[in-house]
Amino acid sequence: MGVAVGIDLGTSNSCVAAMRDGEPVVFADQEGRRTQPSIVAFGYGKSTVVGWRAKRQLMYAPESTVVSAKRLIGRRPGSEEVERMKSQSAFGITTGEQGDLRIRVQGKLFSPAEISAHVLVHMKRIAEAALGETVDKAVITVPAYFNDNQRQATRDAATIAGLECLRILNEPTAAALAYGFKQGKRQHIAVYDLGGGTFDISILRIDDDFFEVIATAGDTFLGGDDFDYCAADEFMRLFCQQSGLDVSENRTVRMKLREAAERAKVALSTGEAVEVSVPTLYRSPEGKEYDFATTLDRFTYAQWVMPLVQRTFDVCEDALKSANMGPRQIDHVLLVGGMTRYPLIRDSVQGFFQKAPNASVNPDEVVAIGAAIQAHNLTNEEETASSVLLDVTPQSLGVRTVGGFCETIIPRNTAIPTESTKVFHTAFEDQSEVRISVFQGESRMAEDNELLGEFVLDGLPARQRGQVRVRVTFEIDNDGIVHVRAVDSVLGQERAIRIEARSGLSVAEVQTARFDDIDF
Amino acid sequence: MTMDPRLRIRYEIETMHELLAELDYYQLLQVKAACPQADIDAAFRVEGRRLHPDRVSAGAPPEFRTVANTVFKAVNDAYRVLRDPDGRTHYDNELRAGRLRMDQEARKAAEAEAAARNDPNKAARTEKGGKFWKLALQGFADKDFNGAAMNIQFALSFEPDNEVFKEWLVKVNVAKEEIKKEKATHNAYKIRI
Repeated sequence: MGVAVGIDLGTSNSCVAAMRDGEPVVFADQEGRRTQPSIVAFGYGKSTVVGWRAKRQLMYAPESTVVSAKRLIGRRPGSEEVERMKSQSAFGITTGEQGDLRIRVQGKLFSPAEISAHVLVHMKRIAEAALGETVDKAVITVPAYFNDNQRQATRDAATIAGLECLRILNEPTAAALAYGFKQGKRQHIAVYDLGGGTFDISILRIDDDFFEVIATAGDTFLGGDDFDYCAADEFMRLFCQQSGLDVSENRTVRMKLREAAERAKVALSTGEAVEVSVPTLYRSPEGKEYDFATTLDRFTYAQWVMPLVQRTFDVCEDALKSANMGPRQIDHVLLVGGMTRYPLIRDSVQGFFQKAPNASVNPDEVVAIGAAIQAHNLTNEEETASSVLLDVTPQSLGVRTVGGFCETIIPRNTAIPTESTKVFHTAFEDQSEVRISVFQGESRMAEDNELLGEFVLDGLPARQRGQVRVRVTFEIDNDGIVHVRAVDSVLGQERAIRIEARSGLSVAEVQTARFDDIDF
Repeated sequence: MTMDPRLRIRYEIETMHELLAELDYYQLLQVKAACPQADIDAAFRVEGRRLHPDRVSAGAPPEFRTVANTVFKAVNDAYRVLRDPDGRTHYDNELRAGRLRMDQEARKAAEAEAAARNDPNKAARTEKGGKFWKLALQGFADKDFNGAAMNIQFALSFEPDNEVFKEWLVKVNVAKEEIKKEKATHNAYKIRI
């Protein structure tokens, strides 16, 4: 039997850990690095590379190097987030045969789940190399605000990677588990999780070994990437001004400026100002070379990214309101995610919660550690004294009703697992089918929420209008994944229905995707 | 002879599963129907520790996992209703009518009831009090907290026992303090460098 690990599958970086002799251990690669870039590069030396080697390819072949696939996983083509990603990415984003989202690299199409699977295999192999044992099971973390489509697609990624997914665990919850592990205290904590691509805030009550999420809120398209794109846009504006050119659509220039923005962000975390310089940023068709140079100070940078920081606090207020609490009632604030290393974020969080954030956890590793603890809890048959995690569903689940409204079936922040039953009536005589559209989101209008799927109950008996009653039970399991089953009152038959159209991968495809060509 | 504690809890969960349709929310949390509200929270934590599927399913057959999940969904549901005193009152009425579970309709009715009770627009009981009350709410909406406080005082002179008015007076005063503080610190959590 193989080892069960915890994997933090991040937008920018990933981390893997497992419990060894009662203590969590983070696995480093052969060079001793404890996190790996979530980057997959194709065609480098004829094979596919992942992690640090893939990151090196990013600079000279961005069009065949896939970054931040997590921002695309479980999303539909044409959605606002996908369009934004399209305008930022050097690789192709397109629509597949089944109308699902695909990434195009060197003429080949990949689903975002396949890209994530490459990263998972890489993490699995790092753990196996460190352990000298097989790894076949994992708890995989996702942003708390991920919807059903995104969770399901992440599960698919695990299947493709040949891992049994023990649990899809929310990142802030994992962080809280790692923090409260063996502490045995009673306290309220807030987990402020600003990663590479997503933001989550979760409020938990910890009572010794009992971890109860009271409320969670988030934005799955707000993270470190956005800070870099924001600064890169400003650099682009400056460069166009300086050079008199308009190269705002040039992908290589944009990629270089994005790199420069990331370096500037890192430099500003310790220095007051930074000299930004990109030699030969652009070479005109006539062969003239243009450099880019500017000085950036903390104040200017803060002004640029202020709206992004402010957005995280809007989300925090929403979560506190749901929890019926004020910032002062929070005993400890945990900072998670690489972005929270920056003084800009730390100071702002301290201002908002009116207390210094807890500095005892490593923001890059704490999520993987929490996932490892949970993996141990779920596989250990000997001990019974493991902690209990009680999470909530981050978004309301509802169905479309007359007039395009969305009727809530399970409200957000309901503890999971949970289920709720609704009775549907036929609307006209001899109606033989009922079509039900399931959504996730907080808008009153169904259209503005995320469509999870549509299903049809057919073969209903011919009766007068309203006489056929169909009881539909909506269940949200421990992974936060939605299941639907239905019974019609006349026939009394139960049918389990799996909501369709999720990650856009057919089951066969999940089983046949292979990774023989990964160069570890 | 003692039984292996893990087998005993499995046996208990299987029994609960068989009786699930007959158990009311109080029985699911193993508390008395007349217990103080604080006991509900404590009981949920005790039962949550004992019955959570993650805690009892390791090494158990997959069918048992389904059983444990079904039981725990009911426990979660019970706590969701009973943790809120309004929800609990509504459920007690349902229970007297012989209904053990709050279905979707009952839940909506309970929510509507609570919303009506909490709707500040319907809080005034006298005509004159109502006039000032309306001005107070308008002042609050416009963030004129001084005006709102004054109008609530007037409204209270007609309805000195109105609890909603009193609650709002506290709320308005807190808002006044916060505005003062905000002005002093220039909105504390905005970035300063």
